[in-house]
Amino acid sequence: MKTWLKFSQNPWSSFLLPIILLGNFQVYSLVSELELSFRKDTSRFSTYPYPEISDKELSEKKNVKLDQNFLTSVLLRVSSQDRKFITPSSKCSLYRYFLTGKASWALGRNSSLLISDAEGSVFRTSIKSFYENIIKKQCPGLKFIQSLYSAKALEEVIKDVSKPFAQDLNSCTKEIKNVFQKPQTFNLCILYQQLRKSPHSISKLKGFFKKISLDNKFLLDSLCLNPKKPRDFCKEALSSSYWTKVLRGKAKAHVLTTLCENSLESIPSCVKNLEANKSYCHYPKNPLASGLSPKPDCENLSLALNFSHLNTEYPECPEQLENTALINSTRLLAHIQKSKLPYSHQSCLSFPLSLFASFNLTLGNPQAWEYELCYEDKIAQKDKCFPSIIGPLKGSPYSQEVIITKILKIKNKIPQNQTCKFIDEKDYNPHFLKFKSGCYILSNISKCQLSGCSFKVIINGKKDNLIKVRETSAFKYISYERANRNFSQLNLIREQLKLQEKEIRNLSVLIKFLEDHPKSLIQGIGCLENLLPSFFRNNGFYSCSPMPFIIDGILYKEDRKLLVTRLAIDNLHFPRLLSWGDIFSAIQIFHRIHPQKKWSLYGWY
Amino acid sequence: MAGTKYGVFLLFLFSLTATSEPLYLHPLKTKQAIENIRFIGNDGQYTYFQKNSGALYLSRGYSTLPVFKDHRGTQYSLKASPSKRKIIATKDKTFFTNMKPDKSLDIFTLSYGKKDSQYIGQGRNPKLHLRDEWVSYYSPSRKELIFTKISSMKEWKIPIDLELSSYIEPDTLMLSDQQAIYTSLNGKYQGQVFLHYLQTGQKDLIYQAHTPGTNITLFKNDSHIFITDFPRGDIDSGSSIMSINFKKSPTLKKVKTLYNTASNDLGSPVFLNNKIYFLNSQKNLISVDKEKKLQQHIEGKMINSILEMDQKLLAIRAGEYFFLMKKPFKSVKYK
Repeated sequence: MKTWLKFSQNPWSSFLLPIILLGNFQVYSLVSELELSFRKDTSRFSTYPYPEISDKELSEKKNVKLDQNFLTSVLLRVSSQDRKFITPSSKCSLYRYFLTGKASWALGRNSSLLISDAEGSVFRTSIKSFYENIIKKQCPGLKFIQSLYSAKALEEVIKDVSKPFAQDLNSCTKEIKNVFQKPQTFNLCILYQQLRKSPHSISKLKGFFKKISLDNKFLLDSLCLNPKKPRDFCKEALSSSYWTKVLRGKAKAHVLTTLCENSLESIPSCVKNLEANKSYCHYPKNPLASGLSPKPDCENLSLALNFSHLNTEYPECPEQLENTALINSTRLLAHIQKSKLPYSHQSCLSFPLSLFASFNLTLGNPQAWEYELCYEDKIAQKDKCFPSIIGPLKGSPYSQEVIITKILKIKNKIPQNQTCKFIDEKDYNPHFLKFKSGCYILSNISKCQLSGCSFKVIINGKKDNLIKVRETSAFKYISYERANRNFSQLNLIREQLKLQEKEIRNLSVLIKFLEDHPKSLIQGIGCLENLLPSFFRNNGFYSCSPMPFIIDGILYKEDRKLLVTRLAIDNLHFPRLLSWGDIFSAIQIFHRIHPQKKWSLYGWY
Repeated sequence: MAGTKYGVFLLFLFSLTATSEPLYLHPLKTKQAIENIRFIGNDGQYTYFQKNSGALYLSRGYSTLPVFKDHRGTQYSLKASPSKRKIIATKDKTFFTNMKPDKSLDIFTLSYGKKDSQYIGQGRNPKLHLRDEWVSYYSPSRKELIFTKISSMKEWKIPIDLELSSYIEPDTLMLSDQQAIYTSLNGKYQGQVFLHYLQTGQKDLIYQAHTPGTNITLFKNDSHIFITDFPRGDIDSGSSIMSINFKKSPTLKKVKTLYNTASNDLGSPVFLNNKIYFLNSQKNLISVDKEKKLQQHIEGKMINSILEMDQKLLAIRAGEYFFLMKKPFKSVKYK
């Protein structure tokens, strides 16, 4: 601070400071030559005492360029963030800067530019006229502001910059340099910066930025908010930490929805926490991090995620789903069917259930999913039931909203054009006018579980007791009887989705399987007490809590081979690193107590 | 860094103070399929075993007596206390169809070495106390610890606030008809041990873990209670074992540290013959007694976990059970 004060008192400082601030800009000579004349006549830019040139005259003039004094005044005020995107030696890069509207402060009320011709005469012209008559000819790649800011143009940029970068430092640096120099990147960043500063400033494009995936938001953050030299950018992008990879757009970012708050602002600071404090991941503050705790530390989690490929791009809350066999079934289905859905707490129960119910009901295996909503059919003198999932899910034929609406229409409780809406109990207030009419299903969905989820149906402000619930019962995940052994859930998934399986009895076979089928999974069931002996005690001889799990990677840490494993009680986004010894013990004990001595570790491909 | 230095120093101390008393792995030899066995009495006279049909039997001398009959796939787990008056049994009727790790199981007591049983309730982690006259268990659905006097079936319930972490089950002890001890978690995930007066409902905190995420287990003999505090998973908490002489300190305020290290041991603690056996970070089998005497029993044998069955120490390695004995195992070759 003292140095700064001394510097600011120096009579040369007002001249030198802008140049210093410009850093490695290659316009030093231009700036220094013009600075004196600029300082002598600064008032002219505010009054614009120059004649306006017509379109016709402008198109006929030769050697027209931006007035150098005017240009200098603009360049001196370019922000450090914008500097990266301007190549001063390239006039097209400078023109692009004006087209973005970033220099609007310099153009005055009439959005005028000052230009000079070959004789040195200075004229005033509008930015649009200058674009049409000069820029279009000299820099055909540049487009006028409207088209540059169109959602389509921006989508193209996002697609362009989201491409995976080269894995070696030199190639990556080269690629990133190109990305930085693209005019579209610059335009996108300007919009993004404005949106971050004032979210309501660009109302039309707010929707567009909302649609951008988390992965791309991280990329934009690192490109636009904290611009680094391309080489530094690549160094970080290629580093081993999963979190850094996410920030650089090299790894999927959805995992962070359970670690950080899912907002644009907090994610970079959350990633800083993950890098700085490895115990941050044991107990994430985010309520979405349902499942067994303590979770792995950030270092082990990052390692595991780097070697994992299971599809986890959908909402899931294991504690609400309860039955670990159902959880593992839906994980296998979601991976094989490549199911995806943005994370929302409201669908973390209903989405996995819809995967499970749809698979079994489509297949004609209704015994596996027996949750139904019923009404009393007085003519048939019995309950009429429809299969349903628990909670609402947009687009699902088994959504509770859809089934309740269907039943109420059958019973003429609501008109044919009306639908029932699922709302959180705490948001319902019978005194509000909007709740006086219409059909509402009230429930505390965040407390719902597979074993119970109470709800109330309110029609035109009155409670309706027509609908009854038939709860789901247990299902056969693995066969344990000779009869019906082909109808276990694992058999059905494998056969219906046309997968082959390979029995895995030792570590060599497991390693070979993952080498031969790098995108495949290994699924198993073992005793929880042996899978996680530091969490669960062995309470008796051959005492066992069966626990399904999925292995999707192997890594070497300090000469130990560790398997990337998701137990069904673990959160989907928090794989653990387990040793083969523990996994084998767990599998072997389960195998021994199985009535048919069934082995339970298989690779699916 | 300080922790590492501390750990190295302790390892150095450990190498000076720990003595070696080797124990050897002995494979179990039984007349019937070993995986059907759920409990073998210390003297080998009683064996409880189950069949695939879902029934539990008692084998005694030359006779086999049915204890329970249930549907196919039912699994049983049995455990006795040092008093050897009763055995506590759990019955899991949905072992293969409902794989919910915190589901409630049917809990029974069996008279030791006999087939008669008494239904206690539904819950998890049952434990016998006070000469097998009491049972405690945890009900995950009601979030309650239940202490039951078996003769009268009178119950005392303690609400447990484990909202923070499902799947974590409290451990329990009883000092008298009036005093129960149990583990819980505070809002920062730190393990806690409480002394609870059943009649008045008053509770006193007697121990709190320094780090969140550790696994606290309780043991007791005639004069001392023992508290083991080991890390769960990769929690970097170090490990410690404490004792409290409840004869000399009835309020349980005088906690004596028996073992403390910065290294993250695996744990899996077992209390037997007045020693606490556990697996250290290298999976070596170690024991410590109330005089802080450390002994190493097995080194580098890749043990998964250890357990106790009717006052015998067992180890699980590669999915097989072994008795741990002082004499080396000699295989008998039959000609």
